[in-house]
Order: sequence, then structure tokens, then C-alpha cells
Amino acid sequence: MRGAMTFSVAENRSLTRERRRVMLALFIALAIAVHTFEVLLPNPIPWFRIGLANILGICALFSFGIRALWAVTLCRIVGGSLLVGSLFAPGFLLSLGGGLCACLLMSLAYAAFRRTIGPVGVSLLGAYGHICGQLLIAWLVIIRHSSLWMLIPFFLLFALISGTINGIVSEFLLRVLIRHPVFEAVEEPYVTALGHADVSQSEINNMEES
Amino acid sequence: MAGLRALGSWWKKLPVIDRLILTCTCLIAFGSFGLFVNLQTGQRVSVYSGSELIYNVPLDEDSLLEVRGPLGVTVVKVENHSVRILSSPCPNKTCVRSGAVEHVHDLIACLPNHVFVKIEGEENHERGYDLLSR
Amino acid sequence: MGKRPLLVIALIVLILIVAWLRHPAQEGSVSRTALILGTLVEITAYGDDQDLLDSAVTGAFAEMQRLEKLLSTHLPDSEISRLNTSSGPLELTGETRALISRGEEIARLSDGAFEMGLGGVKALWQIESDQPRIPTDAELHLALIGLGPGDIVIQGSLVSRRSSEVQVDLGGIAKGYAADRALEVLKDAGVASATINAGGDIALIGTHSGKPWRIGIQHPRHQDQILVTLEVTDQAVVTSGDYERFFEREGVRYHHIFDPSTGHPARLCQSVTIVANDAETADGLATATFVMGPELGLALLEGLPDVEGLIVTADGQLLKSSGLPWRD
Repeated sequence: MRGAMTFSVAENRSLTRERRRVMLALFIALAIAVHTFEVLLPNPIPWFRIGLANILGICALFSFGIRALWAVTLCRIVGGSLLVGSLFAPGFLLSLGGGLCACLLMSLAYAAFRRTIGPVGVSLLGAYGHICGQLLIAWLVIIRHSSLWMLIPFFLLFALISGTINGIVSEFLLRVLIRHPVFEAVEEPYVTALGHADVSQSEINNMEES
Repeated sequence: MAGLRALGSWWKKLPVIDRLILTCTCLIAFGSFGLFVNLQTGQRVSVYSGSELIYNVPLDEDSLLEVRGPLGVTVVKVENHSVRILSSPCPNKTCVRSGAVEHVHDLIACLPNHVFVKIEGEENHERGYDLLSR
Repeated sequence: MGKRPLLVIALIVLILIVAWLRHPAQEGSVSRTALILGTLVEITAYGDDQDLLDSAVTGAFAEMQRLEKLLSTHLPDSEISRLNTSSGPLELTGETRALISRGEEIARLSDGAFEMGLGGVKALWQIESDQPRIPTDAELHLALIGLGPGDIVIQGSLVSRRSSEVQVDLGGIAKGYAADRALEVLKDAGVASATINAGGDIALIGTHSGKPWRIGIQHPRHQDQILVTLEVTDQAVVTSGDYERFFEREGVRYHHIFDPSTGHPARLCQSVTIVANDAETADGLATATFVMGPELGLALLEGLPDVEGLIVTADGQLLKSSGLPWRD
């Protein structure tokens, strides 16, 4: 099953874990960079963001599992806000609410349809979750006003478009990543959806436990 | 055509669950437009003579309304999402001078001619107060 | 493995539940408007039972219309109109008598600044017509004869005027009283949250979904501005201002709140807002304070329990009594 059989099992295990850590750190760093880049982009409508950073979250999810998704997203939001200087500002709360809701939905879907769901589906759910979380926070913390609800259709339409785009880009990125030697541990994915990463992950866990 | 074919093949390669999610999210997004359009046009202008409701028209459609009161005819104009009293037979014309109103709960009244105009519906702007003492 | 996300999810759900509980769903309401006592009256009742609210609001309007028939000076067969045309003592209902004696009480409290017999003076100025005029001193002097506290005499069920110049006009107190009575009707019907806005005389029941009512006070010189916002629960707020009904002649503003000692519009304030337990008291005291001016008026308000006030002086200064429910 493993690509590199020249290593001993122990070496292989620790190598895989190290690779995983390094890749995760890379994902987080990239996510923060993309997040910051997006914040800095001129934006005509304050709340509409494509959420490009979520691409990294989705890649992490499909290569390393649910925990990786949460790690990348939470670190991205906190790190990104720290960098932009909006930590604990209303904008941060919006990001956090959106991020948490998105992660929740994506993890649930990923867990429920482990091998049959692809990045586009996960990304769409993430985009919708993000909108729901943001609106909820906005309603609870910032403005309590019915005109907020009138924006919902526009938010949803935007989420539909950005979610699809992010999903496609994620899929593309995953296909490229998978060819890289670092991802040897991750099997040729996607044909039966990219869920195999979790197999390797659970194997690592088994090894850790044994 | 080529684009359409590419789209078709992309759709075919999409996992079934993804297709399902994409369809559902599409339906929700476009369905929500239909749902909320009603909310947006929910604001209406009510024109009363005494305690009798004479007109109830949408605020976002321009119209010219004539209301008969004890002194004569008061003309109310709905234009550009706002309402004003255009002319009135009353002596001091306070109602005409008070200008246009556009927000829910706003009122213009011509007390001498017993005509008043009210914007009703879902509140569309935060006033910072519930009632005005004047 | 996987325990921490679950914990996070549980925490989020908990936060959402708490947030949800802290903001109860908004209840339904019934709101209607009618012209009563020469002003626009808007009654809004909040609650779950739409039918109950509807019948309560209908009842409240009916009560105000009943009082209009009793107290209006514009209706020739109202009790007040009959009193103004009678030559001798007239038998009036207990309700009208109670209102007049309450007015007399405020007149004494304010040293005559509040006056119910100014109907004659008002008729001279004709502020509400298209041809307002400035009466001569002689005319005003004549109209003021016999005025002052005690000019309306109540003996048992009989009411009389001290002199024929005393033309009773309850404008300074009737709106507030009517709002109070309508409020009672709503309360009796079981309404726990409602507002009555009688041309800016505001009477309130309860709270606005758990929060105090936010009452915006009109800026006396900028029509589209709010001076301050007060937070009020279960009380009444009344504002008297020189901007409500007025005309200008040679740069001088002549408005509808007259000083009973001169017969001219009172000059010391731009507007006075009173917060009191009932709209009748607030209405009377707003007029009284306006006439007395900032100094004497504020002293009067500070001396009364459960009464607070906000005064905009003639030069635009903002004064407030010590316990005003101010909200920045």
C-alpha cells in the first residue's frame, strides 16, 4: 500500500508524521497569506469575499483529515487577523463565526460521505456555512435589522459562485499535490473521491496506538 | 459550444453527492431571491381621511393620489420611494411644507383637512428610537 | 482523536443557545392611527394574541373619541363648549370635574403659569388659521380679566367660570388625560406592552420586548434632528415646543404657548420635555414649565416626586433635572 517500501516501518511512520506536520504548517502559512491578501484587496462590497483561503482548508481536509481542516481554518483566522490587526474587532468575529460554521458543515459532510464527496461539494457547503455563520454573528453582535435579511439572496448567490470556484481550484490543486513525492503516503485519490488520505491518517493513528 | 461540452464533462465527472449539493445550493440561492423580493416591496403608503383608509399603495411605485377632506382635496404624491403632500386646501400648508418622508412609521398629516399619510411595513432603517416626542 | 472538535462544536451550540435565549423572538403588534382632539393619535399594542390586541386598540380609540366629545372646544355640544357659553353654574360629569380640578392643582403649583382659561387669548391670536394676527395690548388685557388660579370654580357637581372672559380650553391637559384613559383601556384588556403617541404626547405600558422604550426628543430648531434619546418604562413623555404651531412676523416667532400674565407667547424656552408617571401630569407640567422658564421651571420639577424634565432655553441651552433617564 505504501509507496516507499525501502524504509522500515518505524522510519516510515515517523517520516509520514513529519511530512504531515510540515505540510500542515505550509498549508497554514499559505492560508494566512491568502487570507491577508484577500483582506488587502480593494473590495467594493464589504462582506463579499471569495474566501480563497478556504482552498487550503479543503486541501488539508482531503489530504490529512478533519482535524487538519480545523487547524488550518482556526490558525488562518487568528493568524490572519493578527497580521491585519483586526483581532477581536467586529470583522474578526464575523470571520470567526463564518469559519466555525463553515468548518462544522464541511466536517459533518466529509464525515458523513467520507468516500463519495468531492472538493466541490465540500467547498459549496463551506461557502454556505460561512454565510450562515457571518449572518448569525452580524445579527447577534453588530446590527439587528431586518434589512440584513434582504441581503441574504445576494450572499447566497455569491457563495454559490465562490464555492464552486474554490471547489474546482481545490480539486485541481489536490490533483497536482498528489503527484508530488511528499504525498506518496496519500494514495491516488479522487477517482473514488479524495477520501483516502484519511486511510493513511487512521493507519498512522493505529500505529501510534500500537 | 465547446464551453458547454466542457461544462457537461465536468458535471459528469463530479461525484454524485457534489452534484446533489450543487443543485440544492443553486435552488436555495435562486429561490431566496423570490422569497425576499416580497419583503422588499412590503412597504406601502396608507392615506387616510379621518379614520377611513382611502388608499393603500406600494411605496416603490410612483403615483398621484387625491383625497377628499372636509376642506377639499389634498393631493399626495408617491415618487422615488418617498411620499409628500403636493397640495392642500388647508390654510397654513404645514403639511406641504413638511416635505417628503420615506421611512416606515413616518407620518405626514394635514390636520385641518383630516388627511394623513403613513408609511407602513417592515422597518427599513434603524432610527435609534422607538417613538418621537415633539 | 476527534474529541476536541466535538468539544468545540458543543461550545458553539451552547453559545448559540444562550444568544438565542437572550434575544426572544419579536412578538406581534397592532398599530393604528386616527385623528382625535385635533391631533394625530397612534396606538401600538404588542403581544401574541392578535385578536386581543385588535379589540384592545379599538377600545382605546373609542375611549379617546368619547373624551373628545366631552372635552373638545371645537365641538359645540361638548361639556367644555357648553361651559364656555353658559352664564351660570353648569352641571358637569365627574370626569370633567376631576380633570379641571387636576388642572387647577397644576395652576396653583406653577403659580398660575398653567392656565385653563386662555381660550379667549387663543381666539385673538388665531395661530391655527391662515390669518394669524398680533392682538393689541388692550385686546389682550381685556381677555385676561379674571384669569388666574381658581378662575374655574367647582361646587359639588356644578362648575362655573369666575368671569365671562374665562374661556376654558383644556388643550394643555386634555390630550395627556385622553392618552392616560386609553392606556387604562389597553391595560384592562390585558395588554402588557403598548405605546400611545398623541401628537408627541407619549404614554407607555411596560417595555419594548424587555428593553426600555427609546423616546427620541425632537430638536426644537432642526426638524429632522433628534436632541436626545430617553429610555423610559411604564411612564409618559410629553414635549411642548414653540416649533409646533407658530407664525413669524418681522423675524419674531409667535407660537401657541401663551404666558397667562401677558397674553403673549412665552419667551423663555424653545422646548420642554417632561417625564412623569401619567401623561396628564406630564402634559400640564410641560406647558407650565415652558411658561415659567428654565430657572423657576427646573426648581418646580425638582420639587416634585417622580417628575423629570428636559428644558431647551431660549438661547438653545440644554438643561435637565437630576433624575432624567438620559441615554447617550
